[in-house]
Amino acid sequence: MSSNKLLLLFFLITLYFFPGHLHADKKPSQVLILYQEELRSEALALSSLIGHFSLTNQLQILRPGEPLALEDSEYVFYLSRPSYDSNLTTRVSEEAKSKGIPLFLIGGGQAERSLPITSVTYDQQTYPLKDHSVYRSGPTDEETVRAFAHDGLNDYPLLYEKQGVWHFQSLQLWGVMGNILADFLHDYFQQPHPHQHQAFIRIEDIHPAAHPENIRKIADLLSGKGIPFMMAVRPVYFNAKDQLTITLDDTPALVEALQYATAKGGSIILHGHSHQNLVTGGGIEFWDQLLDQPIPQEEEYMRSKIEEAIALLVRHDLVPLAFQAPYYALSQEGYRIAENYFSTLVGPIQLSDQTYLAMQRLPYVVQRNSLTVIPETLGYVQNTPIFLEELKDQLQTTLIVRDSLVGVYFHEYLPLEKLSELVLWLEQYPLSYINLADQSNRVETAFVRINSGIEGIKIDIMDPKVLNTMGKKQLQQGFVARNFQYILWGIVLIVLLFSLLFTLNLLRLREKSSTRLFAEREIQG
Amino acid sequence: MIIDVLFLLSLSIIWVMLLYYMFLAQGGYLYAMQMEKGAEDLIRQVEVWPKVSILIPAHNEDVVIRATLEAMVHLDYPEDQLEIIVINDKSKDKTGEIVDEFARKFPFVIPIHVTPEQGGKGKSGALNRGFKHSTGEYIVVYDADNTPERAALKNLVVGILNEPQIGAVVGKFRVINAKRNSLTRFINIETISFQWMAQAGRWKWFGIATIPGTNFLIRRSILEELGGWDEDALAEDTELSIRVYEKGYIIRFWPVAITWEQEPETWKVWYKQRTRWAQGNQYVIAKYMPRLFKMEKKRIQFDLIYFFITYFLFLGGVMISNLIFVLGMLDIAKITIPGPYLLLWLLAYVLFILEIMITLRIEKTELTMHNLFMVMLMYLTYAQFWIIIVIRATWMNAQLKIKKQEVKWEKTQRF
Repeated sequence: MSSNKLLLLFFLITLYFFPGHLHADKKPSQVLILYQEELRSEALALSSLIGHFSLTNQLQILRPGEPLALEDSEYVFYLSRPSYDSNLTTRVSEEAKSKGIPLFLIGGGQAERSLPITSVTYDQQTYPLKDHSVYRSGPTDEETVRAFAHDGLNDYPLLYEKQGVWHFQSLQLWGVMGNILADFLHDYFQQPHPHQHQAFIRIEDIHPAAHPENIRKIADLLSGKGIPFMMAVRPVYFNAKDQLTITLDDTPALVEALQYATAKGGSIILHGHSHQNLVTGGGIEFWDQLLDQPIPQEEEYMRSKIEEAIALLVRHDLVPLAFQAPYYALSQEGYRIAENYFSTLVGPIQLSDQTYLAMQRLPYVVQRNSLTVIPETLGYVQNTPIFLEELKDQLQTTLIVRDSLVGVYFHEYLPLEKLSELVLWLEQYPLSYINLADQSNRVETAFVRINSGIEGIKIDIMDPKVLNTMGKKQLQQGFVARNFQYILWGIVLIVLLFSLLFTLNLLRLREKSSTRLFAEREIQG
Repeated sequence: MIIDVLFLLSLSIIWVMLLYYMFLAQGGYLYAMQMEKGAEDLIRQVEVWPKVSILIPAHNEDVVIRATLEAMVHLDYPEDQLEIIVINDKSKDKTGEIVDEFARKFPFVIPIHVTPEQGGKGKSGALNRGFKHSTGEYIVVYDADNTPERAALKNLVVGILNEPQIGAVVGKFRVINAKRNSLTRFINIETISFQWMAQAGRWKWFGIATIPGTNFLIRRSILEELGGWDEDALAEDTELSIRVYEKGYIIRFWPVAITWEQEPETWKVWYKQRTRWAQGNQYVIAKYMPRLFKMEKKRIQFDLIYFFITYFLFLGGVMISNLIFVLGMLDIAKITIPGPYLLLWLLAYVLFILEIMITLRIEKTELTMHNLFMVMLMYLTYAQFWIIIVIRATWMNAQLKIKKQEVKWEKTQRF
């Protein structure tokens, strides 16, 4: 078999696992997302959801009087509030209809008003909801309704088709509502992905001060169950209290534990450099937490930190396969920078540069430009007796989507029983655990290139010198520098004491010479 | 990063030296207190004075030789136990005549006239020649510009009598032309502080002193054993010191024996003289460093390391430190390690002033306002010239090594 064919096979298998991958043989369809200006976050969220379907999409703000660029589009979505210009909605409908382009209205469209609801029904399943509302539509006689909302008394169409136009009567594109839409999009785009849920467990935020024995125990437990897992690792730990910095260079025990865990089926995800930003002083490495804006010198800072972090890992034979931004926070430029190094990203997506608080938790794997985004749907294991209850709701919501990915993370310092409980609980569901190492991932810097796939992980070291020296602890952070300061202050103290002693010496000498002068005078006298 | 490492290294070297000198300064002070009484008791106890030969190498010294010999013949010492050997080393001036004049008047003054054809190299050569003619049990060396105090010789002798482990005794020298100009004032301060810190301090703590070119006494037996002075050494005194220690003897710093000497009055002469000293000391380091670990005497090993640090590492440290300072001012490279550097710099300055004040105070008449001002100025000026001198000396030695040339003994000009 030629290498090209092998590659193709590899590619096809990858596609099976990642339906979000582009079909190379088919020109991607154009999806146009029109939106009312204030709904940018919602439009971006929809764009991410569409990223699951090998479709490229573009966003356009729709203002009254502006022309529509429907020409190249195969699908048009329009997001608006019901209170927004209804003439505009009519115009979009008519233009789409005249061009024969299917239209999907999200939000109010021509709805009358918003109604509080208590549950929704989709695919014969009813999901209770709190604090949700839908926009009530007009008469519903001739419609094809895929989802209903209920307020306890009446049913209202949530997702329906009317005269060739699909409607989604809500702008909540996350949680239960968002997942209903996400699942329906498979039918809408006629991409019937297999009904197969995948899952991952990620050991969260492993840093040089983590406990190596915990890592080993976790690895033993999961590998004993045949579960491949992920480990989010940051190679530097900075303790602000005593200004102490330790890196993986300083912690051979942890390095060994991580190597052990890797051998047991763990895949490493780079979770930033130190998780902290030394310039802004914030706890989020690549986002200015305080001012809620991108960090200064973003590209330079991110590049140096990512490269250092990769070097710190790889030189200890710890091979990162994906990236997970600290706190998931990245600016849109930050994603572009990350794309230079990684092909795979783990975690929710930050929707805009306005705030890092607007994160989208996707239900499934999506393609975002050149990044394959592995979502994290369930959140984390809390150190409470009822943590499974918390996860259960999230799981139900996640399972709405036919090929969703159940992602949950676990902190290494929690009791191991919690992890056992989690694994036992997840066994009840038809989930297949993804193994990142078997899938196509690329991590690339000027000094090292990593590729993973069914053939395993391939590492090409282009510059061993850089690999072995980059991120070596700077003196000012290190042991020597810290203690050097003490030494300097010690010198200061010693010199001060001696200066005092010398002053006393001087006084004593003066005393002596005056008594002697006295004596001399007496002799003369 | 590299700047930080260099900086840490240079700072470490500099402070190791400064702390060492601080320690020596205290030793010097303690020794001065100890020697306060003088050696008069010892002198009174001597019944029979041993035979002493004074060697005075003189090369074109007619400006100073008369005063020197005047002082020599007035030394308080039994004449029959004394011979003053003046080695008139190829002088082209009236040195020979003056020496002969004294020889006629005083039978214990013995002139040796060396002609150019007779060869022999520099001061070491002259000393070796004089030594051959000498008969004394003890050999004393004075430079041709020295005027020892009357009691100097007896003081030197009592420093070694009945002390078999002592091989040589080193007296103190003072500057006779101290008040001539700023340079001689600087030199005066420097020689006083050098002797009380380096000589007295080392003697107090480690039992080490170095033979200077003048005002010292050494056992004839040791010189015979050692084969005299090394004629290749520019710093024949330092070189001789090491060999004395290697033979298992001690060199005693004995500041009660005092001589007064002339110091250069122009910067040019001073510069040449100091370069020669630095070159000479580097020769000694180069000669003995390779066999450092084969040496039996621990304290001289220590002293060699100290010399090595002074002439090579300390120089490097100061240069790097200065370079980093300049780079920092130009905003090219910054030190990223935090530390009390300004405070340390100020403390170094304060320490320097205090140390020298003590040594000046020991000399009773020297701690004047004028001298204090000179000390403060010295740190920033005179002391810094040392860098240039050591660099030049290193450069010249390197050239000699490359061209395989012989060292040339250049005499210091008198005033």
